[in-house]
Amino acid sequence: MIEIRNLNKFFGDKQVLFDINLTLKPGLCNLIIGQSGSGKTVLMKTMVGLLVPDSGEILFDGRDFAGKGKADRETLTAIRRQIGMVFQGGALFDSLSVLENVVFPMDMFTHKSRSEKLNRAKECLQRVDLQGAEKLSPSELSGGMRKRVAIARAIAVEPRYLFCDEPNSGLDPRTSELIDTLISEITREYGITTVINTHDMNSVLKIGDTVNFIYEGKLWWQGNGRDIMESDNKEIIHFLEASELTKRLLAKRNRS
Amino acid sequence: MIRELGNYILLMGKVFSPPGKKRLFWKQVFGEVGQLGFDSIPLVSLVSIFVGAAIAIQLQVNMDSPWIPLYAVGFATRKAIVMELAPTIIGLILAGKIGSHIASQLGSMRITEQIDAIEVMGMNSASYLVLPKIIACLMFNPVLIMLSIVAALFGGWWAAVSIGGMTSYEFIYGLQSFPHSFDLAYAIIKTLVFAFFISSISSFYGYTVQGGALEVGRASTKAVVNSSIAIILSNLVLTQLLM
Repeated sequence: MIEIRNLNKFFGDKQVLFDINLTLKPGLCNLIIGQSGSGKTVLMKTMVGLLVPDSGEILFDGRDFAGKGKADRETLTAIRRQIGMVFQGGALFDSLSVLENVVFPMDMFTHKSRSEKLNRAKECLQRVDLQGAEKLSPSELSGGMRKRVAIARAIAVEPRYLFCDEPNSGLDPRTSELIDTLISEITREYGITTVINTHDMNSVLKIGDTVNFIYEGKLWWQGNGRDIMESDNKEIIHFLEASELTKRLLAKRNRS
Repeated sequence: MIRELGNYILLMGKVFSPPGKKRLFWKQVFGEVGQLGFDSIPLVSLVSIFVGAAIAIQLQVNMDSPWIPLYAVGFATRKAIVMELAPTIIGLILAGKIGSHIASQLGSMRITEQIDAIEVMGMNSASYLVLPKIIACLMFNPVLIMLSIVAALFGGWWAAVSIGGMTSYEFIYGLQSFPHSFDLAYAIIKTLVFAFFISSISSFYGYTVQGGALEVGRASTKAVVNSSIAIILSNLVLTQLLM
């Protein structure tokens, strides 16, 4: 479980996160939604330690790493070894093949033999339906394939926490749905705590076990994918109306 | 400027922390030796041959006096090549080639979040990515400079004999005259200092890029310019200290 307490983040004089309090549960897809510029990515980068918060706590199963001391850095490193992250563009290493990309985190942190690592990498690629793509280089992959390789790399070390930053961005609806299904299945299969940043309402409705709406750096609303359609909060309705799907559902709700 | 210097020192502090698995670290170092070192051999050889030839011709023309023995051309060519041409001029050329390569590679990795991905995996990305480049340059740049010396002396000999009309014996006699073993040590010391500046300054600009492709281009230019300035300034200081 990940708990965030009174988290504040500034860039210079500008405050971008305001007193965020959030609990992200294991075995579920925890979505963080909001418009572009609302602070979703800053929140996620702060959660994985790429940005240092100005105040507040980030607890991974009770362990805090949000400070700047040596002990905090050691805790952060220990926690990070249990994190898998899927970046917006995939962040695959250009100089490595697909298979080597998936083997990479295992090379760093496991003491498995070479053949064990290769077998695990192939298994992960099979899980994301990319068997046969092992020898390709990242530049030869489509956007959806890159995301799937990134997922395979993230799960290769059997993480306890999976972070996905805009996993559907730049993908067609069909591929986007496949990625959503894959993330949701993996979350349940491995019982991991998954955190997803998105503004895709299809994902919210389909896989949002818990949904956290961020508006102008503040946590505005919490619930699940179905509850959000019942909300009469002005900012949420404004956000929902931006998507054709939820706009139709809202119109239907208002008619009835 | 002061802030940049401070950030550079902080990055170096991060770079010189213990690397992860030694086997992977050395694999990375030898990969960099290939990319940064072996790939520079053709350029270094070509430049050295022609600059060595030009130096020999210049000296021959300017030392055309009955009071100066002909072999002095060979001696002066050797001195110029070992003391300045090979370490400094080739250092500047390597700042252009290696510096832009390092800065653009790390800059691209930064803007495509590959460096963030390494960090999130729990690794020290600075140590993993930058330290092998610095060690590769410290290991291989002296080899490149030795090669440059040999190539430039060959170029000088070829020009002196085929263009200047000297005999091979006179030129080679000059090359072998008044040997001074410290000259070579001086060249190596300078090369090591320049190798550190080229690799660390370029890595700094690449690693700390923020923005997009345009910023990567700017970082690459800054890396080359500032590495060159560092070479020129340290050359003056080292010459004063070592001579």
